[in-house]
Amino acid sequence: MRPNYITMASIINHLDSDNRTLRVILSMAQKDIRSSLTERAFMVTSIIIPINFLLLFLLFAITGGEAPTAVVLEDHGHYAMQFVSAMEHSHSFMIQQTTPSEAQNLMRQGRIVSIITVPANFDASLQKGSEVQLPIIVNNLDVDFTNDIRRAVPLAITSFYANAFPNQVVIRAHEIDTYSHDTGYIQYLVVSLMVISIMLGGLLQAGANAAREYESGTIKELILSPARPWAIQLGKILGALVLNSLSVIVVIIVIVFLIGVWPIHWDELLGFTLLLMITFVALGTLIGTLVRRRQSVIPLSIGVTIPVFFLSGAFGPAIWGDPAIAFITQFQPVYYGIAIFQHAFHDFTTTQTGPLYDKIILNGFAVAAVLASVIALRSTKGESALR
Amino acid sequence: MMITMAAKSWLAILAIVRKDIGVWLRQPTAITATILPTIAFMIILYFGAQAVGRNPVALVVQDNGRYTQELVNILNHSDAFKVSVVTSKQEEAERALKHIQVAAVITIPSNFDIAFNAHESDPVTIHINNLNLDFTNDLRRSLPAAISEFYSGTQGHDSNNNKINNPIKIHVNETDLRKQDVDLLKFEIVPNMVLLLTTAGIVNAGLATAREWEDSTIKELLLAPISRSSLIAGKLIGGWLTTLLVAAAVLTIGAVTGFLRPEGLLYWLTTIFIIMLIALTSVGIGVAIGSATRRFQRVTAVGIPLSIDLFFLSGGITVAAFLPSWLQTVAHFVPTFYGTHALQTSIFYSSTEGLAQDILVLVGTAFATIAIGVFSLRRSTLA
Repeated sequence: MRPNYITMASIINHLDSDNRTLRVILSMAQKDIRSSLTERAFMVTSIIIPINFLLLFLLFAITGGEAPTAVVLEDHGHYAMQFVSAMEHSHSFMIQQTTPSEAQNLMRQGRIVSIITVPANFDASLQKGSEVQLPIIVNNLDVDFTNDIRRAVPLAITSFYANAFPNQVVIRAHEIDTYSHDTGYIQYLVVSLMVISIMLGGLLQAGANAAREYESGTIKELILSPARPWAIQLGKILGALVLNSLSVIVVIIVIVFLIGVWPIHWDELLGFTLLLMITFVALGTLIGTLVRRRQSVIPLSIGVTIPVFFLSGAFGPAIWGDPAIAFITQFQPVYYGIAIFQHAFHDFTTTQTGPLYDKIILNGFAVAAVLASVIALRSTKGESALR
Repeated sequence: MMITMAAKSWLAILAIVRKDIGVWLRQPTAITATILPTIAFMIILYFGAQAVGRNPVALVVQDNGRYTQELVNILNHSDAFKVSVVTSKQEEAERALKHIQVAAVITIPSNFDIAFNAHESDPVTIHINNLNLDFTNDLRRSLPAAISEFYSGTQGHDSNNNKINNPIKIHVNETDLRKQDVDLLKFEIVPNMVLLLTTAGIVNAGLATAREWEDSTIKELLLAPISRSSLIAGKLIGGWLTTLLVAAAVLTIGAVTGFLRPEGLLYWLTTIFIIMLIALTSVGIGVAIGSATRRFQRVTAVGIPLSIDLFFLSGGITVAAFLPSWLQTVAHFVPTFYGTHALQTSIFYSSTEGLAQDILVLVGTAFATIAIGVFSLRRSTLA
């Protein structure tokens, strides 16, 4: 009978201990949520900042690589019109037809970056097989944008020849696309931006919650209590997770319902949103535990999030960029987060590891982040004991 | 009597300025908060500039004729993409495409030279991983550019010794408005410097003001025998000098490295004047935020995102002239847009184009933000 008695007692003790731990976790979460709700200004800011970033980066993408261009048509012949049509279909220009003086005015005001003049002898010269000079004035502000224009004009010219004189220019580009439809830059970028929003929101909210304990001195009471440090830290993570979900819900609503980017795999989206939230909230708690000042958490979160986002393949597969960056970026979660979200929304594969391994690696990052956060609090307890 | 009063006021102002600068220098968090967003954007720009428009492609060459080699040579030297795989096996290249090693596969077919000599349709295939329009359009533009270059170089004789004329009769006659092309990294340093100035001004002046409430020293200041005007002037000048200290460091590094080096005294003076105006504008905003919020955390929470908003809305990491018309109109209501424009024209193009308008807007904004700062601080000290 004795062994049974011991077993029952240990089970009861164990259950009791589990209940206590669960109570600690829930109490911590509840306390953090309540504390945050009393600081409404920061609460609102932490929701607004990720959305603000989302919208600002979209502004960056809105140009779509198309150069605002004035076309001055001095010839209205058949070929001239065909040439303008070729330019319009080159995905490179935002064209408006103007008079020469209007074009100069727009250039002076900085409203356009190039003026293309189709000369009066355009049709006649081409019919005769003579040379035609195509004057282009370029506001060569920076070489990247200017080169896009320099390459776009030959594209328009070869496209024009392919239609107008198919037997003269025999070499032409025959395009085959991997995906049946083109995905707009905004539709692609917005998915990557969702990851930055989750990251920034998580770091800010959890970091501020963790640092608050040090600023107000309540951390001493917490670590001197009989509660286990990991239960305290899990409670803080849970609380920040609930608070962070407000900003994540708003971001999802903006992306899916306002911008209209509909995910193909909803299950993947929701599951990995939660996983990324856990990862970044745990990292935020870690930052807050380490820096211990809310004043530092904000610049640090923003300062870390922006470069990490850019280096993680936000605009296209990271592997196509700088080789050193492509190597380094594989050691942080945003890279895999962006890849999984591109898969969830567009069914794209953007990493060499592929979606299955990306999912496994992301799970690993989540576990590592939570563990690191718990260890950081345990070391705080150690420091306190030494004092 | 009047002279003694004025001297007293100046002494008080100088004491506040000295205290604020001293505290700032002893606060690594404040310095970090000032420079971190800018460093973050500079890292982005540095790596972004390395990779811009240079997608890796695989080249499948199935012909070994003269024209094929000529086209291969042009493609290999293209500044629009980097040829990372050259093979004669289509499957090998397609595998690289599938495993995301390359963004596209360009195939020159086995009958390329024969078709070209026979003036028959001679397609060069490009298989693009069309993940997004930005990458895809870069690639779409690149191959026709190479084909045009190929045609312009084939004037002469074909392999049967027949004379070939370039069939493309449309020749681009480009006139550049600027005497030099400025590379992306260099061009984007200016908006980054403006971001640094606005962050430094807003955050430092904001923190210095909020600190008086956080440390409760505002009571002592208000009970001291100094006028409120001295207190306000001290706060503004302290924030301004701190911001100019940061600007001086950046400008010196920029001038030494050659990234930010205006040509001639006039453009140096213009650059320094514009920097002083931007710093003054942001300090006004900072003092207003600091006295309204009275908390460090709120100053950073409001100040840093506001600086980044101003940065993006004035062009930020893109070029304002390439933005759609409605967005350009929005940018024209953002004061940092004028600051960025004035600095870019002075530093890169040695030009005073639009300078009067830029200065007018910046002076007006500086006055307005200082007025808001003074009003906010005065109200807070009365409360």
